[in-house]
Amino acid sequence: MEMTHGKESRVDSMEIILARLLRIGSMIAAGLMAAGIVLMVTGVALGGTLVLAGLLTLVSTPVIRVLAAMIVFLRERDYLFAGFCAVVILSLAVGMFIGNLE
Amino acid sequence: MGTSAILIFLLAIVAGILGSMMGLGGGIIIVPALTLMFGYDFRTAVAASTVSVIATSTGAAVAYLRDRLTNTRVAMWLEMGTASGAMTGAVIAGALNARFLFFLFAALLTYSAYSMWQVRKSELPEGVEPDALSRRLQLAGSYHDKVLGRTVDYQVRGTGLGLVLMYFSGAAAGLLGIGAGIFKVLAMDQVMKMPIKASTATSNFMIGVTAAASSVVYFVRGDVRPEVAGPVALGVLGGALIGTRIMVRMKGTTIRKLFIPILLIVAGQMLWKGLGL
Repeated sequence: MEMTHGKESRVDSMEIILARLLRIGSMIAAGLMAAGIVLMVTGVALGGTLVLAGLLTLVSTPVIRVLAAMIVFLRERDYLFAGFCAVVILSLAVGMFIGNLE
Repeated sequence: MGTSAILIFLLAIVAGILGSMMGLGGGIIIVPALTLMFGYDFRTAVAASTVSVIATSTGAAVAYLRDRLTNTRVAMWLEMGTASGAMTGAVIAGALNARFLFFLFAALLTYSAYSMWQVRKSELPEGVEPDALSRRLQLAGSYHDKVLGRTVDYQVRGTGLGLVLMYFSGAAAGLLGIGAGIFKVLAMDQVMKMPIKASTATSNFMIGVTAAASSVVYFVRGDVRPEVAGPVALGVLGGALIGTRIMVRMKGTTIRKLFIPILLIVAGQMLWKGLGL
């Protein structure tokens, strides 16, 4: 029973941490994009830059999410799953590099 | 740009609702709509669609993580396949016959539609025996189903095959530009025998990671146009908030029934591209 309880609270904390992170990220992105679109429609030059900043924030959320998961796994001494996250991050980095070469 | 921005925004809300419910990126709606209805070029549309995949994923993940529908351990395991597949997809692109791949995936999706139809009445998979790897990785999950009014505990099997399939789906998504989410849902539902709700939620969680890598390339190329991608991303984020609320109140069998026509539509799209029409 002790084991099951321990496992559950561990899984919970991972999910709550990631949910909070993604919510903050999407709220910042949405705020920047909404403000930027309003400025673009009214013809203010800064609008496009704000929208791009919002888009970049949004695009970075999944990558930050994998990094955060890796840190949580490391803290829980779950080295196998931390290693999985590292493989994902490495593949993403190499993929971006190859993609930008072309 | 006012009117078209509002129209794109409204369209994106619909794409966000559907995508977040089904575990898909919504590219099947965004790309044709932007090119055919609004006359944008293909590169702009694909760049906006890739950003919308991330918006669906991040927007929906907040709710699905809280509802425990997302199986984070399965997601991390399978992401290794999709990410490395996407990475090598660009490299092996020259060696593979794209036309053959389109036909292969069209056939696969049609077959999947048939096998989904056969199990259309099953709400939850029963008697799933976890394999040794699944036990070792502790992939079993549990969530509270609001429709059934009880906690659903489930086991996962096909762990190794799932990873291999994810590798090919990652490579295909990079090569063909479609099918990122659809193959994830199919692998978890049909091969790994996870409940359909956990499959779509976990697929949703995963699609953002692969899309993030390719979107960086689009940013560098200058294909991400703020006046298009901005309203799309904002609308999809809003749509995902609505879609997740609808999905948790839906029966698994309903989600399955909605998934079958989507499979056939994408199979048709692949066939169309394979024939070079």
